[in-house]
Amino acid sequence: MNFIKDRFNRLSPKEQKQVWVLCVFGVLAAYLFYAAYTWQAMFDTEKMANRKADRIEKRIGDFKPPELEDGISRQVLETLLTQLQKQEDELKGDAATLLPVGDATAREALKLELTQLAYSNQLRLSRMKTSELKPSVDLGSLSSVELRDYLNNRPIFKLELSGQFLNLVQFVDSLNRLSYQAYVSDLNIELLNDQNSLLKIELELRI
Amino acid sequence: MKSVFKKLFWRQKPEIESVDSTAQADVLPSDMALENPFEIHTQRSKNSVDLENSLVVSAEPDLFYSADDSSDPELLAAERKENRFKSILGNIRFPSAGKSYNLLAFQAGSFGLRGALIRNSRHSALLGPVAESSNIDFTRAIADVLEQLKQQHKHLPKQAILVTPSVISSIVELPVSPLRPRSDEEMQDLIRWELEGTLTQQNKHWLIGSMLVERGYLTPSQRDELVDELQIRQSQGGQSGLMRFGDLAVQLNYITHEQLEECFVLQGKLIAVDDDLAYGWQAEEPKLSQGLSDESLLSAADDGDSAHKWLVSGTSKAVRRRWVGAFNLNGIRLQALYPAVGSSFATLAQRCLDPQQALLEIHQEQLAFICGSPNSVSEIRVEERQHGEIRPDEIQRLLGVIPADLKKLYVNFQGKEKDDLLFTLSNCTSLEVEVLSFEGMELNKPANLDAEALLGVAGAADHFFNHVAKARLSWIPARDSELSFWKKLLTPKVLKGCAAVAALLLMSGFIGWMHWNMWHQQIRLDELNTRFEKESKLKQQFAGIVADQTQLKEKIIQTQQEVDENAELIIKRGTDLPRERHLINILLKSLVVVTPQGVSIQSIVQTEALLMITARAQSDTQGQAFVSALNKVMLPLQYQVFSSDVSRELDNGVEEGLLPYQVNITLRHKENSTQKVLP
Repeated sequence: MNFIKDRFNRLSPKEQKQVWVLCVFGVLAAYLFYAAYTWQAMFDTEKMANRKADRIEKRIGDFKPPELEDGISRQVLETLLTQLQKQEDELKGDAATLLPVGDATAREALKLELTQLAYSNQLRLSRMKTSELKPSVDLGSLSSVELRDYLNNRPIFKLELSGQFLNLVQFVDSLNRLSYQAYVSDLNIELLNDQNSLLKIELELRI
Repeated sequence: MKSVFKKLFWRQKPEIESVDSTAQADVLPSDMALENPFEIHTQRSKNSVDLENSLVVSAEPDLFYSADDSSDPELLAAERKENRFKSILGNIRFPSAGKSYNLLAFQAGSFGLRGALIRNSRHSALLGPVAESSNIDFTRAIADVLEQLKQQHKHLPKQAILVTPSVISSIVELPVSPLRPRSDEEMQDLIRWELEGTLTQQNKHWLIGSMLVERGYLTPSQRDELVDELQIRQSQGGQSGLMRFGDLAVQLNYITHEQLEECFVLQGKLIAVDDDLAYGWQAEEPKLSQGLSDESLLSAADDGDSAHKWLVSGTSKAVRRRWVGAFNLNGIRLQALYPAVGSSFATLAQRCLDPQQALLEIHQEQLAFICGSPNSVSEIRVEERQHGEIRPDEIQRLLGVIPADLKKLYVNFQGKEKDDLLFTLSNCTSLEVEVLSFEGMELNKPANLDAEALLGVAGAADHFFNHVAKARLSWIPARDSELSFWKKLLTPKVLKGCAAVAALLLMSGFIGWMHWNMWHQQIRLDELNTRFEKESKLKQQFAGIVADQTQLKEKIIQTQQEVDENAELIIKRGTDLPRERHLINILLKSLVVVTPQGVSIQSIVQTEALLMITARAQSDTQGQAFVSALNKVMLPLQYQVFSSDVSRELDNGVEEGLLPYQVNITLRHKENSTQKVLP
């Protein structure tokens, strides 16, 4: 330190002033560099904080806890599912009394029964046509929708008969004696001959 | 550094030469003027430097001083700022078992330095132990004296006054009224003009011959012999005529070379070589009991036209600074500097109650006559003293016209021939003459010290403690009066410092603010990150809850829908299906029942909601009756006639054997009655 002091004192006043100016500017430059660095760091930190605040504002915003509707709960669902299951069981029990769809044996047997029933009621069966046949299904695996479809969209037997009116009434009256449920969904009766009261009868039986 | 010192040294030399030559050529007596001032100074400077260098080796390096003010410890110490807290503590007097003293009074001269402990009593300042040092270094001389005093009294005061011949005192007339004193700067300007001549005259105190005598290296008679010898040699001419006083004294073995060099060093310190002087002034205290004079009242209104006597004093600022620094280095605060000439006049007030008082001070080189009232000094006359015995003509010339009401003349004389002196003075003045002394007081002083030498110290102490009138003595404060706080602030140095400090504060404050802001933003960022994570999780949880709820709701709706559809199907299959199953059967049987004679059913078409019957009737009445009966029968089956039409067919139909009226009936199920169905 003394060496530097001695050297400084040996300088001329002008040189001493130059050294002072140099030192002051050096310190000032170092300060400015440091200040610039610190400013940049401060600016970056502030920018990041503002960006984060903006991100929170945009992504999250002023959110509120959701308001849950009354009556929407697992318990309600369970109750409904239990009820649905009961209904399905009931419908399946009902469906079990109907002609199994896709079971050709049962179907053909029923057709035979119908033919025999027409003849036994003195009706002449001129034609019998089946429609809306479906493949065989397992009732236990059917969903509610399928089960409803199974029950609603039953096969139809279209029969063309001829005979007396009272025979027709007897025939219709005796349909409940068949192995499976069958009822007349559509009827078309036309008088063919007024002399002998012969009717042309077209029936749609829903099985 | 050497070159810088050299430059500084050579710069000072011409100033010293000019002052010395002026002082000695104009003022010195003929015997002293034989010494070539330039040669004296050159040798002194050289020798002083050598001696100072030897002191550096033998003593503390801090006490070294040189011609450079910036490295002189005494001059540097004079600038030392006093710690006010320590100063207050230092001035507190703690009770002690023995006597306590309030002040240190020092007296300087060619002999060295002597100091006395002063106790402030009710009516006067009392001298305690006295110590003396002949050291030529101020700091060491003070330290010597303090050490000796400390051996006699443990606790020494921290404030001091100094009586020194370097301070001169004089009566001057100034156009300034005592009732209306001017500012310090104006007073100093006025005093400077009046006192400059007197100050240069004072330098004869520090002539080598005088110093050698006063330090005891040379007797007055030896000095007189040397002066005579020098005059003889000068008159003879040649090389011997150029010999100086000191060299001759060494050559004749009166003194040693070291003693001569010692005096040169001391001379260098005490002679005022600068024009910068410090002043003190005192005006005569107005006698309030007698009222103010017309002159005083007039002068109070207009100073320019009046002249008033002021007791003023002055000394070199450099000398004062050196003394202040020396005292500072010893931890003593020098308060005031008093003149050696006239100080003993202050103590005369304690011993004489006459309205007109006079004192004759006989010094080594001077005779001084001071007279005045108990409250003031009216006149100070100083004359050179002739060598040898004091002669009556010297006294008469000094006294001049003696005031008429003066009855007694006091004499301050340090010597053994007091009786002869009193006789001489009595004869030549026709006044009662008395030696001023301590009158039986026992002083604790060195054995070889004359008690009367301390009268000046006692007078200065009395004045310092206000036991005598202020106008009895003029003094110089040890430090210049400090500028007011605001003026200090407005000095360029302080302004620069303040600007630098402000800039530094601003710069560091800016950096600090940035760091603080950065720290604040970092904390904010951390908080935002934490908040973001927390709220994101919460939002996800809420979204999950909402999704679950929505899904559950959909499932419930779906399930409810299926339940409803199933329920509808079950109802349908439980109620509608049996009805449908038996509908045709009942319908056919009902037709059998309701069909009357004369009505023949031609066709029946049954669809899901409609039942269309076509019949033939014998008459329209029968046809209409059939419709009415059919409607009644079909009501339990929830069917009703929607439209009916009974009309007579063409004759060709009758011809074929058909009944003539055709009946068209449309029945519709009640649940579907709102539907628009065409017949």
